[in-house]
Amino acid sequence: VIWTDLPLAVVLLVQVPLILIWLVVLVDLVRRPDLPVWRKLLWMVGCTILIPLLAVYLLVRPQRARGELAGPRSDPHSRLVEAVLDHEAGLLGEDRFGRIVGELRTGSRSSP
Amino acid sequence: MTSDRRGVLQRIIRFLANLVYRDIDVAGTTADLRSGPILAVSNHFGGLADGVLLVDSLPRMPRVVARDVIWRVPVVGRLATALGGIPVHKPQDGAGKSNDQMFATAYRALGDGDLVLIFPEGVTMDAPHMAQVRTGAARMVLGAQASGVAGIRVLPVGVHYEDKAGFRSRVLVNIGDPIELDRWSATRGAGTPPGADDRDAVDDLTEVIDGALRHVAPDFPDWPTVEALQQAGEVLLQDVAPAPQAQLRYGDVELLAARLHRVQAPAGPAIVSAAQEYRAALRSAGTSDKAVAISLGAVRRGRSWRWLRDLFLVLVLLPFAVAGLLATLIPVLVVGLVSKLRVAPAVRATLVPGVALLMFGAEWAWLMWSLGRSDGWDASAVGVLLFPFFVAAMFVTAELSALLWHRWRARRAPSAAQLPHLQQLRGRLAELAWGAL
Repeated sequence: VIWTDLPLAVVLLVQVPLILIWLVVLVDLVRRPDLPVWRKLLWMVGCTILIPLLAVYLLVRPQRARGELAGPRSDPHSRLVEAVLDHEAGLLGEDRFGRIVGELRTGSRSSP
Repeated sequence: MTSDRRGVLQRIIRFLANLVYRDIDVAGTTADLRSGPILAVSNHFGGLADGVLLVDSLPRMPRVVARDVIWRVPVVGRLATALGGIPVHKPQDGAGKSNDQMFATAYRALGDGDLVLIFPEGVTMDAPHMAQVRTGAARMVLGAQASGVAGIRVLPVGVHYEDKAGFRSRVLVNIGDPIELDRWSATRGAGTPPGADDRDAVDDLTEVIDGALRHVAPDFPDWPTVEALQQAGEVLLQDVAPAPQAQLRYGDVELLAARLHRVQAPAGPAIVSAAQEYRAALRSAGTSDKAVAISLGAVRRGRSWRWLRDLFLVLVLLPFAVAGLLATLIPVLVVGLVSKLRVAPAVRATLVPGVALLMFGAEWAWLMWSLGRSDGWDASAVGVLLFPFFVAAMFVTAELSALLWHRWRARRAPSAAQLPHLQQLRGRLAELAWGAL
């Protein structure tokens, strides 16, 4: 179905980009940690049969890094927000809060 | 309505919510909300949009208490019934009807262990703060409790929008700690449950709900204050680690902004004015907090190749995006005009999606019809399938380009002449904000 006697412009502007987008979506789906396998498969089959779904997938996909999709967040930003709110709610004592904040603030300077 | 079918509907609504909103952050725990009678109370900003979002973020399909006018709209009414909606009558929609029916339905739903969702302000709000919570929510749970339903929890849920009426806005759904009704009644000391007619109990509980909801919902005096406090939140986050991508996460920024707003005077207002000053300086220097933070050595430059992937996607999608723009020029212009209308934002939040749906749908149908007439119905069938692709490609390209632009701007260092002033303003703001926590 693909390369047969179509003008070069169509191949370059339509078919090559479509195939590239398709590859990007497939790779992204395989590497996504937050979807069960059956939903990955559903998207893959859907995106292969129905081209419009490619762009819909890109739109629906949460715009987050893969690490953030994996589950409970443990990056410095979420640890800070959690500590601040726990401290306000009285779940975190003054000492421990101070220590966590100190760690987080110096951590940004020493580690990459 | 079986819960199975409601589960399927919830899936569909989740899909829609992810189309309409760019990023939905959910803060708070939902693990222990899967069973038991719960009345979720939420602030009401964006008309219909709030309902869709909450269906997406709550662990079960809620039964939404909504204005009965919705049931008079042909298709929407049937959908509302299918979703298990509970109609509430408001005096402004016509006098004379009582809400006994609504309360009876709600008691039954809570008795069945359902999750009922109500917007207790009773109005949609334009300002970034809530209206006074009305007594409906308290009467509902006290009445249900008196009719024998045990273990009811009232769950405050705050909905924050980065850009309320905007398509593809970022959103934070902030789920608070539930209020255990039985425990609350016990602390009041009365032997029997007070019931919906006990005015004192209703007023007391309404006050408790109001406080709990204000804690999780946006409750800022005005929009400039919101922006200033968000700037302060960004400084705190940037002090801890550079943004992983071009932008910090909206949920993190907003939660810190809300926390800083709860700081008592005099520290609170001082943070707001320092943040406003810093923000204005950043604007006029055409730079970002990230660039200033890097210049201070507060954070290391992050290394990420994500931008390359985004740039690649933009280039690859560009031909389709251009086609999408050409095909939908008229709808895009009309929707753009409608969203500039000077009407209440809550009205706009309902109007814009409606007009968009209508215009894009009409354009789609018209294009397919004219394609069918000129090139045959095979071509039209292909067009029917490609149209959504072009439109989606247009939105993806626009967003990724904006993100790339933002990223590039964030990296542009301020000039040497401006730097000391910016660093000084930032230092003062950081000191105030960290000190207040």
